[in-house]
Amino acid sequence: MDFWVLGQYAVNILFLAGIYGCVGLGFSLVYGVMNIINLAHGSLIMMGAYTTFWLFTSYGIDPFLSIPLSAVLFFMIGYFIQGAIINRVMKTGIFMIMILTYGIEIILVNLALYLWKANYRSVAPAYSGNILELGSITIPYLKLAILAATVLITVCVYLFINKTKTGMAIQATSLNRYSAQLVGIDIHRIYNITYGVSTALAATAGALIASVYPIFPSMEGPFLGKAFVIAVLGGLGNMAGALVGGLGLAVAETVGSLVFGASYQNVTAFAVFVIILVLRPYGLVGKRFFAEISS
Amino acid sequence: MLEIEHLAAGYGEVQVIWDLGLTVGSGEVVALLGANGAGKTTLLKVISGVLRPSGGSVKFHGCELSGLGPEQVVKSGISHIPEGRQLFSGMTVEENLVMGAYTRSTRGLSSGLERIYEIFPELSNKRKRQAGTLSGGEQQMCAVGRGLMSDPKLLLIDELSLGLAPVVVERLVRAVMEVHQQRELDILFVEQDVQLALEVATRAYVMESGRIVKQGASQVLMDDPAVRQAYLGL
Amino acid sequence: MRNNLAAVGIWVAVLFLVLTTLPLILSGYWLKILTNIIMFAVLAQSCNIISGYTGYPALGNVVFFGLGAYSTAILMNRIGAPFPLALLAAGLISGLYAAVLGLPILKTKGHYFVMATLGVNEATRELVNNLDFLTGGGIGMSLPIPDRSIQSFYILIYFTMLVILVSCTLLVHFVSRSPFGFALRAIRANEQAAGVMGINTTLCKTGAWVASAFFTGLAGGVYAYWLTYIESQVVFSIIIGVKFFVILLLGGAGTVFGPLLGAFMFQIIDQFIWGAFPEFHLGVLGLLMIMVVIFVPNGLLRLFETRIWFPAKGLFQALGVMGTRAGRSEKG
Repeated sequence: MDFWVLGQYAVNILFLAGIYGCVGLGFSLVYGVMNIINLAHGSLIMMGAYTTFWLFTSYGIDPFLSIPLSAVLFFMIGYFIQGAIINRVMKTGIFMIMILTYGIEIILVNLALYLWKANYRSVAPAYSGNILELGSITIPYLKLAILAATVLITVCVYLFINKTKTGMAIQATSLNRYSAQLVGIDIHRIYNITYGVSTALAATAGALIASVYPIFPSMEGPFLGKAFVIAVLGGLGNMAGALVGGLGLAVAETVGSLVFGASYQNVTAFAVFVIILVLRPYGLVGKRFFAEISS
Repeated sequence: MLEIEHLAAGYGEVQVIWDLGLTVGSGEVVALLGANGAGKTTLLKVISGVLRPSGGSVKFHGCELSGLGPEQVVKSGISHIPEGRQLFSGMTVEENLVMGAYTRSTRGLSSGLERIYEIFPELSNKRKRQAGTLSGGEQQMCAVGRGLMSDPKLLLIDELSLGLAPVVVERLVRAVMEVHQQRELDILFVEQDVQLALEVATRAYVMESGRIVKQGASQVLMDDPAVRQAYLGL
Repeated sequence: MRNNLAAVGIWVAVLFLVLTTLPLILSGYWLKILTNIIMFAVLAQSCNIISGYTGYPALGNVVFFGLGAYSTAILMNRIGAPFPLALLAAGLISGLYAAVLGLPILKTKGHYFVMATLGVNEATRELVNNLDFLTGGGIGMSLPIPDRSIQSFYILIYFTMLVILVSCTLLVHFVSRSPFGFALRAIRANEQAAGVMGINTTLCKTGAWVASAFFTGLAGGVYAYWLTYIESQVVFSIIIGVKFFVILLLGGAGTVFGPLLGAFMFQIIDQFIWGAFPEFHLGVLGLLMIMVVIFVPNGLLRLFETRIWFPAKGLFQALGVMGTRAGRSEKG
């Protein structure tokens, strides 16, 4: 294969990996800290995308500028969802919590259907046609901006988790709930914050998606599926792994569509997913430590 | 000053503690003895707020604790060193200690850390090591250090000696007793090694199926034929 | 004990009589609703085998529904197989799929198992979408229109579904008191311990999943013939999978009649929601799911027992109405 073609693929994979990393980050965070498979994550991403669409069409706010706004708004929504609903059932089994989060999921889908109908919508900022040409590689500025945004977001999340008191408390809670309580961490408040941050990350991912792809209420399904794959590839609950998982999914999809044809992109992704689950449940880069199963 | 009266507690519909009374006066080191499953750990969990009691009262310096969350109990000056150490094994030793001071302001943090490193110099050279990679004795030191970081007035210790060599146990006990004398720290501890417990404690309680069945000064219990037979094998 | 058995016998007989005469007098609309209830009872009951008794939350079990539907459609449409044959084959294909997949996938536990089953469902749906020459791809697939009157066709569908439900429930009933059922419950309680006790856990789990897949596949096959048109987005949709989980929870997982009660309650409520809030149907459904999890986590059957039946019994006993015999049968 020609060097330039390969370069073009690499650029596309990187861009996709950025978005996917963002999709997986919040999902993995919630799993890692609370041991919850958050089936509402897809619809939170979808609502984030619509929020960007709404801010863009109604107030002309640029999708990238809308990120801080919607992140704050979604943080509060997530904090509330966890505090008012999910915390009530934290002690029941995985079954219950999944049904609960799926309930939240379909409520949000219904809300989106009601507010924006089932139509495809898109956000097209004025600069979306501008392209950077590097030899025969073409890179839309928009994709570059998305890549930059995902790097920035990753750095922020890293700093928050590792350098702040609350971030350390989140880590402590994820490592050992009981000890976290004994040192005086209010774990329910930590759960609320964690879910809030995860929701804000979902909104961010939604904003990025909305700036390049068309959006519609039932996009929640595919993106929830992708969050699964990303999280499992990187090791469930492993934050750094989520980024690796994002890259892994981007590669798997691209290679899958090259080898088997474009329509096999998703089959490849899910096949890889199931194989990883069975053979390396702690993920590609994870340590066994993260895969300690509590059912 | 801990006062527990008519305490009842359990898990779901299973009641584990029945009408239990217990006090720890200032300056006291009190041992809690009893067979496995007697409810000792459950009692400590209730005091530290991890488990809500279903009845009775737990007062600390006159304030009612039952119904408060663990974070408020820690703030009120009680620290609980759990059975099996329960360190944050993915974090370093120092991070574990820092987490111990979670409820305190960050101002006294470095002096607090230095104090722990003085008590346990072993931890000092390993502050950047992952807590999970330490030896059993060092892990217990780290756990005790973490418990002391909140500068408590009452320390609850669950099975300090579990699985450790006698030399290490002695070292830990000496360290804890020094803090007790220097810092006016009251101690309530659960211990399988009854001989050791009665040597260290001023008073002791004996628990059996969720109730206190015997209490008294250590010396008195040491001479009690029933205790000698049941727990000391003499 | 014998008294209890007789009571259950009478109840079952009455239920059976009602279920067999109702379709003959019901209007088309209500017959459709009743058939739907029966279908979801089958799905929940099948799920009960692997999830309720064995403790493996197979959230992606809907894959067998889709597989059964597509197998029936393909066999009838492309080969021209008669319905009963196609249906049986659909059940067997689903069971086989579970057997092949079960060996690797049932090694995973808890969250990992849930995600693996969901992954299998997604991968299978995508595969079905891609095999256009066989499945019609994204356009969906039509089945041959039956050459009989609409009413008699719907009654036929109803009775086929009912037969599947009865056999599935009988299976669950007998399994629940057989050594095999004991093995499954042992796996649910503690798989490692079950293994140590000499239970071949892999075989038992896979067996349970195959049985579950077989009946789910049958339901899917009947569904396909009933609607005469299927598309992958519908028959593999997670929402159907989640629905039968809610039904199972609502009725009571790990009980023989819980799924039936759950399906009845859920479909009636669902129908009501459709009528009352067509625009917010999904949302109200979601709300209902949240409420089930928060307020009746142990299922209606348990709720009924602990809140109404036992207290009532106790009250009667206290009044001396039922005497000591009732007290004994409660333990039995």
